[in-house]
Amino acid sequence: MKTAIFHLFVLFTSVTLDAQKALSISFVPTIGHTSIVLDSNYQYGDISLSISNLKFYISELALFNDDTFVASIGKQHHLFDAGLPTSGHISQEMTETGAFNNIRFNIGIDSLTHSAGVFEGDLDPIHGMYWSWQSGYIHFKLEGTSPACPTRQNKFQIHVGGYQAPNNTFRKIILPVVASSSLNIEISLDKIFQQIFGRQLFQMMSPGPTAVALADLFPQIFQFKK
Amino acid sequence: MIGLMSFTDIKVIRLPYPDHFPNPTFDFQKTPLDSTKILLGRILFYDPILSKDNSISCASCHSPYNAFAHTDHDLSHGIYDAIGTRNAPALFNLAWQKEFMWDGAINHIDMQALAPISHPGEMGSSINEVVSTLNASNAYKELFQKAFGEKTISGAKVLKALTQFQLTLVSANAKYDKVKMGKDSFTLQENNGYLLFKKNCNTCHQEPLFSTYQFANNGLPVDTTLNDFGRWRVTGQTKDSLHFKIPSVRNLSYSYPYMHDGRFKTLREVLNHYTEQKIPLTSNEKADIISFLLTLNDADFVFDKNNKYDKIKG
Repeated sequence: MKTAIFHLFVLFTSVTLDAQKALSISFVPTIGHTSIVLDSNYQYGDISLSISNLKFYISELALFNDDTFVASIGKQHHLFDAGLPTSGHISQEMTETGAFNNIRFNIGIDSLTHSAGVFEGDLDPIHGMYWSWQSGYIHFKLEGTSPACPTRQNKFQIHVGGYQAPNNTFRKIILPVVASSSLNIEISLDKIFQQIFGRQLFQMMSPGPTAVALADLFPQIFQFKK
Repeated sequence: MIGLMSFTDIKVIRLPYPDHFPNPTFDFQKTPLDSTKILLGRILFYDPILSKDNSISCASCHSPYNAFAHTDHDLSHGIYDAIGTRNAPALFNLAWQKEFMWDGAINHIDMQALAPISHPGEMGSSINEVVSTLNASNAYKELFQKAFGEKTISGAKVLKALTQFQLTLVSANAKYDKVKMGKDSFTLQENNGYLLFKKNCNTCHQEPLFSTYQFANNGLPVDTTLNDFGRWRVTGQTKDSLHFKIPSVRNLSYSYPYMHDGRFKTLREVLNHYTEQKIPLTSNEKADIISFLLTLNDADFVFDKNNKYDKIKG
């Protein structure tokens, strides 16, 4: 009897500890593993560069245990904006945290939402993440300057969008993690800069095969950091 | 009590259309019409505040007297006397359409207004500028409060209000409609024109909306001063080269000139183009078809005072 009560007590406390606990996931963009802030100088190999704008949509962020859904984290569509430091942190009050070993999310906006008209909040077209000349969200936007860009005012402007086949650039990401109440995700921009400088891809603002090739890199730029 | 009063302020409206019309494609279950939003959209539609230099409103190129087209102008106009590359289309029966613009580049009516607002040769502004200008106006804040229950104006609310007004532009009371409703009858010539129309034109200009709202190449050679290849730019597929959205042939007397680049001023020129495209029609038959087409003019729609300018109060 005594042990039964003791077990009940342990069970009870472990539930209450989990109850009303916030789980937070932080996204940190980096170059060469150095976290970046806008309008500062960084080195990518021998190339110096500065980023003026980095925005992308994180949608349907959720915890999974293997292939089993555990919990949704934050809003359905979340706009990451490097100019708004708070936008890098997504948290969720949890009533119950089950075990999880991977997180899943999408970069961009799904095609159903794409064709459903206008929305408030992070999807409002005032955020500069919607193309006016042809319907579609910009899933991922990276802009800045570098003396290595032979463009007007040395600018690079990369807008990855397109939601219809064969030019769909919406990408699902599955990231193995070690469960804790605070997860840090590094967004390593090196692979994107490899394309910008390696392939001389300084301007891209429409859907097409080039955007698809860039979007294919998305699953590789996110890394779990303890 | 206050909450209840503000609730009763909002009037949900059913889009009126006759029995011979199909169901609209717009999802009114999800987004019902609401009189306060319609009024706000109507005020915005006529307000040049949407343009960079406060000179151009939606109605500048979409005038109610022209069935919301720009009669006598082949190409659209913009700020600083800019001339666009396409003929401003007539606006009516938009609730039955899924894709917008001559090339279908816009996938939802909510998103359509973003294009003219931000085009440098049209309104030359941006939705952000529009939102901050409107947020500085107490009169508009009041109107948004009435329509959405919130004073703070967002891009989404501006676009939703414009959608609401434009959805109410229903043209369904031409002589043709009255004949369908059993309230009128065609003359012999109109009836002959109707039979010829059904035989030769109805595949693309399908009644009762008088368009399938699909895309087609109607054989017009490209205007080399514009080099506009239509839907090709949107899909990137060569099969879509020179495909343009099929316009409705309602309200033709109010909305000339015709075609995506406004190259034809008269219906006679249009019909001559199609006979050159191997649709065999004698001159008498053309006259009959034109007499039928004139039964698609909807004066009740064009002169409906509910669709016209309504001065912002305050």
